[in-house]
Amino acid sequence: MSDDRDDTRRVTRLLRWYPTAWRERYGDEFSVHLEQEFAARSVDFGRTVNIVRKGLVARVADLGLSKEPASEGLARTAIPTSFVLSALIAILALNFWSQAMLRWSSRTYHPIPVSATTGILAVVAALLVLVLAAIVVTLIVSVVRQFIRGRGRPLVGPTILAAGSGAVILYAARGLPRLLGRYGHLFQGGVRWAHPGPAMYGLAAITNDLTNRWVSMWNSGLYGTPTTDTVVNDLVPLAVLVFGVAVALLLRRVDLPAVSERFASTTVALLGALVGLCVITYVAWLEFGGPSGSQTFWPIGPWGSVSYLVFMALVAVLLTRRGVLAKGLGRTSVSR
Amino acid sequence: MNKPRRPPRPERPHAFTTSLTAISLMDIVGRMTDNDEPLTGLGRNAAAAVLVLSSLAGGDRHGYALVQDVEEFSGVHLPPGTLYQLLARLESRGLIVALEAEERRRPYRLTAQGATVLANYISAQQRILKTGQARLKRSWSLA
Repeated sequence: MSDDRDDTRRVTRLLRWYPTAWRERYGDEFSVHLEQEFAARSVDFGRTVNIVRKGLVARVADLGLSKEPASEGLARTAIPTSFVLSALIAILALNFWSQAMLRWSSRTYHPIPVSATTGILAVVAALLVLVLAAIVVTLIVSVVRQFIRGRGRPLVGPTILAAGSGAVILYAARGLPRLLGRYGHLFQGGVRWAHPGPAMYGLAAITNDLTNRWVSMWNSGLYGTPTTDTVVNDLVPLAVLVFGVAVALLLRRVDLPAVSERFASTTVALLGALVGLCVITYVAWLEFGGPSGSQTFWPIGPWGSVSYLVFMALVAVLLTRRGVLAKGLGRTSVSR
Repeated sequence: MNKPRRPPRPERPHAFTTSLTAISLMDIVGRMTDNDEPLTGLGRNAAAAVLVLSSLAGGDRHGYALVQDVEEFSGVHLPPGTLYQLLARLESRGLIVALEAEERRRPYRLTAQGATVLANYISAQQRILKTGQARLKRSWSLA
């Protein structure tokens, strides 16, 4: 009797390595299978390793970024993961763009390659933000609709998480009105497209000020007594990460419009392509002398900046490959 | 005078993306058969997939019965994690189908597409075996 209880506990423990959707689909039969295996051979280290390893593979598949069949469609698996990764990268892209634009604006002579790469970086970063904003708007509409229909219970946790982390981010951005006051005069009279210099300089200065503390995930230590401001500022990168994860959870749980599955592979591939373009353009900008020949240009230190670029390149390859594969194969979920 | 047109180059049945180092027997078989992409796409698990398909060719089976049958006819014990990863992949490729659960156990059935893929694989492997056997016999008086 106690052996049976032990086996059940072992099965439950091993099943935890697998994602929820997988457990819902295969959990019952897998449990029976394991109980029979345990009855035949009680202890087998190789078997345990195999179960854990395949559980981790199933978890990666559940994030929608591998070729393995996921238990749910692409809109529920790959889009949330792509969103988190792309949102983190969008912050980097905006910070890189703001540096490029500030340097471009501070010079009177603009070599064509530097102007071209700065312009492309501006367009790509803007497009990336637009795609992410479109996902967020779709998500907000879907969440509100689900709450109105009285089926919002599974969304409560992630909504609270998103609201809490969003509040920290907004509090950290409390300097925005002051920045708008300082640079506001640059926008007066609207943007002159023939020479957008002053307006773009203002936008870049505000973006740089806002994103610098998000990009620099480490500081040189606190001086004096920590205040609420310094603590909140240091917590912003964490809040950004929590916010991304909360949005990803909402994307997984909310009833998205039926059309979202049709656009899922295109969205993932588009996000990957935009991230890839950001990396290529920024590297080209560095190579073409964008940083004005400064030897100590790297804004967050050479290793930090190179790590960010490698991270961006990896995400670009991962997302583009996933989006293209899904589009080509059209096989994204396990048939039930 | 018009030059005689060169005959078009015969097209390879599949576009392979595997590098030379990754070429396995499954890839060779893939080049010889027409309808086995679902198997070659399984990579390292393709051989185990053939065992599962061969077992289901004998009738519907649930997970544990499948493992026992495979062990009986091939001597290979499929670990539980590998088996269920394979079942998910074969199901998503339409080679097998899950039936209604019977007391928490769910039997699986080979589909017509699965049977065709298995038949193609077996006939391709038979061609390789026959060629190898004939050459061993001719040159080495073996086999």
